[in-house]
Amino acid sequence: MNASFSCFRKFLRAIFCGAVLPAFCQPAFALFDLNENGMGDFWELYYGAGDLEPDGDEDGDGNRNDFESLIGSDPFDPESYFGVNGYRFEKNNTQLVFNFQAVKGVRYYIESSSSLHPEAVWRRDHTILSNGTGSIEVEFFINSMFERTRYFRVGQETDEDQDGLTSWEESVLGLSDRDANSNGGGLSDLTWAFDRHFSGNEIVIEGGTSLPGAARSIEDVSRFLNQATFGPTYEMIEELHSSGQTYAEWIDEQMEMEPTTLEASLIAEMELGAGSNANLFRRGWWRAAVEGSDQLRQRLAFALSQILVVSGTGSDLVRGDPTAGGSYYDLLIEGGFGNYADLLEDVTYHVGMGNYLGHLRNRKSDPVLGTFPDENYAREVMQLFSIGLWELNRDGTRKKDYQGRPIPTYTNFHVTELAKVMTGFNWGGTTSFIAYNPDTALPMTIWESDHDLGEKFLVNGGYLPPNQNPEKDVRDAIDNLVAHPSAAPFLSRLLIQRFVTSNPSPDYLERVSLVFENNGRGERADLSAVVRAILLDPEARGYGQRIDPAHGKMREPYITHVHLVRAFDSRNEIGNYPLWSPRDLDELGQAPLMSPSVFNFYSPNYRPSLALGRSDLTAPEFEILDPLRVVAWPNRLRATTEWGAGYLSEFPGFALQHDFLDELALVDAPEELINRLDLMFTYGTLKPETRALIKEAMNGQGGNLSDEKKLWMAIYLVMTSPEYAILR
Amino acid sequence: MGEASCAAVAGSAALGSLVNLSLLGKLAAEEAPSGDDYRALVCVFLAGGNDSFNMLVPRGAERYQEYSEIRRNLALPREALLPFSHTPSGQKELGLHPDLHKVRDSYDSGNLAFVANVGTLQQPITRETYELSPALLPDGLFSHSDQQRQWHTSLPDRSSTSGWLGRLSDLVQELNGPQNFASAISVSGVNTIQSAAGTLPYVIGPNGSLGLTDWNRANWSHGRQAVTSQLDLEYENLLQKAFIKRKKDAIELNEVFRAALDTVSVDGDRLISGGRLGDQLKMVHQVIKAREELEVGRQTFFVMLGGWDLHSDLLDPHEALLSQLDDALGDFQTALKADGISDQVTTFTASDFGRSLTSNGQGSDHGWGGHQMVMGGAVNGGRIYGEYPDLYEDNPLDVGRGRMIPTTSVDEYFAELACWFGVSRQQLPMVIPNLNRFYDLSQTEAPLGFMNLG
Repeated sequence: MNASFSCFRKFLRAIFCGAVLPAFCQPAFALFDLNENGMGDFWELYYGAGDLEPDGDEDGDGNRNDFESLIGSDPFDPESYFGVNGYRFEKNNTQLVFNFQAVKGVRYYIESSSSLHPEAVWRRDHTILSNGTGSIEVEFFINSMFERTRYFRVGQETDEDQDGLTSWEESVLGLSDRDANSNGGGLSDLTWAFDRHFSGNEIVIEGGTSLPGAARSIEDVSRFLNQATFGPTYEMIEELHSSGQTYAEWIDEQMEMEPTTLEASLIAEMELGAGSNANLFRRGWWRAAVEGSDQLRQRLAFALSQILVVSGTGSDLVRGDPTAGGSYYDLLIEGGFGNYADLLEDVTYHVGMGNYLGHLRNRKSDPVLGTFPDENYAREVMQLFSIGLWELNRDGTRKKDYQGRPIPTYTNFHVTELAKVMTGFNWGGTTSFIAYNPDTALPMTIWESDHDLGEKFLVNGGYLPPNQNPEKDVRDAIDNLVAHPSAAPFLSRLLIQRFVTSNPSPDYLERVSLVFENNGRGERADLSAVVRAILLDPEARGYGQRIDPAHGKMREPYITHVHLVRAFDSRNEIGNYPLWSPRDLDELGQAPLMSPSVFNFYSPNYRPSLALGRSDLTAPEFEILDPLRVVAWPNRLRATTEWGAGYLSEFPGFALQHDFLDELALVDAPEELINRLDLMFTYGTLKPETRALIKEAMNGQGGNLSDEKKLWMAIYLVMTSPEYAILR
Repeated sequence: MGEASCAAVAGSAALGSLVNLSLLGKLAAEEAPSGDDYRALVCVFLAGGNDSFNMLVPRGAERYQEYSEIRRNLALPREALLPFSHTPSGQKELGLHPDLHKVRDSYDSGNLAFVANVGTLQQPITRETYELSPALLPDGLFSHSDQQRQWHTSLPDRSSTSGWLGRLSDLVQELNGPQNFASAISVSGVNTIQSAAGTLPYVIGPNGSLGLTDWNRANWSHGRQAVTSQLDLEYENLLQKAFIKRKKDAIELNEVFRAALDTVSVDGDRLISGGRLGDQLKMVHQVIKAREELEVGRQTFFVMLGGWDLHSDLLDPHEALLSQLDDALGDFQTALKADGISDQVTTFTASDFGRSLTSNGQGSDHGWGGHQMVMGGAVNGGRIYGEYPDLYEDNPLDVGRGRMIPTTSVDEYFAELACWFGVSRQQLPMVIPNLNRFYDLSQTEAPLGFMNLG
């Protein structure tokens, strides 16, 4: 009779073995290990074990410290360990008594098999939740008449719900290891614990004692705000840092704020002298992006405008009518924290989209004229707005068929079918399919007379019966797309790329996809939960930098200009935002609602392989970073810094002038000035060499530069540095 | 000079490998003759999917009837079509969109040819294959982004970051000096078609390249020094590394490029009309003039004109685009002729796909095969290459609503251009890896015959 012992940590897909097969033992690789010592941070706090070496064994119980961290045992208590103590036969060899050492709150299982063959079947005989630390005895009935050899093993479920927290950690934090969302909020347990801990908050644990939070540095706060806003001001960083608010609480507060709409911004701009012309939209956009205190909502709307693309480049209506662009963008602002299916439905009915992608006045097939429905919107709503071309797993990898080939999500047949759904749309507020109404804020109306009333076959086996109400057709078709399994990873990835990193790890994407599928309250496609999961994920909150040398994203050039204006509280005397420029697209590669095509300013799959040396890496924003723009971008930043934002020689008074008072006061203390800029723009990551060359440049021209010129140079060198250009 | 190009080589072609091209590049260099051996390929990309069945149109009574029956309200009137001066025997009688005067003149004078019904293919297929074996179709058929990409890569069956012009540049690298940035110039942004392991397009605008403000001014020397030091810093993060490399390259190359362009006169370039496309070709013309200063012997260019995705309103916008294309191509060719270099520059069009022949009311939808133009002194012009298909509805090439299965692959189209550019038959699979699915590499005839290969 033999017994072998092992325990599994499923989340890490690594096998940990107890005493018998030490060759397989690896240092514990806890996700919650920000000091990277191979031992979990909570465990260190709980046992006061932060100074231990992972490969040591203080209490001499045979379990290494990193192993004790994984299973949650006390590294100073020789009685607290995991392992088999022994076994004996009783009652005339008809009973086996098995004794092993357990830790409180952890679930153990005992399995047996008749063979040690690698493919042998192990039967789970017992599962035991240990309610105390110490030895546990288990009894087995043995019938030696039938069995000559039986092998036993005892294992520990170290992360049963695979949420990244060990079962011991969950037990200590009052969470369940059988439910990845057991904290009661809309976050996964791991994200919840991360957010609490790294906001510097104490976490009260079982028995009423508390674990102190990790000190949250002001640089970390700045980094978070650089991801979640159009760029933080110095005051904003200080305020969140000192508030004690967790990031989750800040996000919740942002989500509850009254939306700053473009409708209101456009009116404000008109009152301040703007004409009702093509530039009005962008002036209103700038006002909202700069002044809106609902920064996260504004950033999300800009991100969504790069997924649900409508563009003045391809639509005279969107370019020429500020109400068309403004009311479209307001759908993204107001619906950004709602359900994606609702948003996609609103977008489908917007006349700007109808005009841009052609379902406005799209008619059902006409056998007499020999015409068929326009397929444009039907195709793009699948390829770009919901499910993408390929069936995806939750973690974003492509599903494969039996031949190992990727599986298309749809065929051209589905496009022609969905095109039938997208028929009958006309301007809102009209009295017939051919009437016209110039009010572009009204949703389009569907006229049954021109809507295809036949049955339709949708992707994933979806079916719309004949003679359905047209509005129901549209809603059902959108629900069908949003319910498609690929929608979760497809859309989650696009949003992660806009906020955090161009190359999310499969695990990160899977965690966000799971939230897309279920916000914790059974609702699918709740964007507020998705955004929360994206920003609070450990990979976004510092872990990604450590596991991936390519972590991060190039900042969107347009956003850096908003940051400049926000950081220095730039204003003109009128108080308006004449900041549009016809050169935006050429020089920066971006401008709101001005994408060159429905494929956005850059492709989510753009791979600058030569430059990165790793052909698998994507870097969407690099697609616009051609040799012209990599120079035009700093030129614009410099001109804006020195001349004011939106400077035009014909109308110098319109330019927004910066408030450099705080910075000018520091010019004579360059170290402090650089600290301040470093905090606002590069969250404390400026290299010493960069700081040195900034100081040297400030002293340039024989030390004869004016204070202003010194400051301009410092800002220029910070905002054009790789430290700033890459948000990581 | 052309004898080395595409000369038949005994034995089977080396296949497949897209790496280790530099070695083969050296072979190419040894085969190539010296002298003023300059050659350039200019790709004019019509982004969005040109409705080319309204560019090159059947004019014979019976064929025109088929055309007008399927196109309905999108059909151009027969009497408006521009006739060609001659129709080679055995070819359908075709005419041109009424706004393509200069194109027609180039065709009639033998400097321009059409390749009919060309498109992306994994392998030659029939409608039956189309219906039964989706795995044999190009990935993402009918999708803009995928089809554009495949026109760039010539690899419709896989994801690739290298384009065929880029692979071509890699092969002839020795003719340009090592890593010559001017071997691939784009006047329309970063692209895949010119990118490969050893080649990245150098992107300029219609006004040339750009540098940092005040870079050469004494009162900004401290700024220049700081930026220069910054660009020499080492970064761990790969994106930061890539960012700094792009910036550094751009600043350095701008200096070289400016200096080269300053040596050429630009007289006569203002005669290239054709809007934004004409402006781009005007810059191409200037760069070609500076070829000696740039020390480049083989050059590829990429220019692009967007706006062809005419779903909801075809006829008028299409006319405006074709008119712009006509001016730009015609004037470009005239300028090259005036310089005596038109034999050494070949311009060709490419586009996402053709469009559906049927109407969706006012416009047409995404299709597949379409027609392209090749222009230059080395073109065996005045002919249509490939097969102009029948257009009647539900014909064997029609996979629905007049989306035509291509009868010529982009592989054959590009291979012919690659031959002219100077790669040997042996090297062709390095540029066009799937070529042997359409073309027997052991035969001596050129893939399509539209280039004069000497």
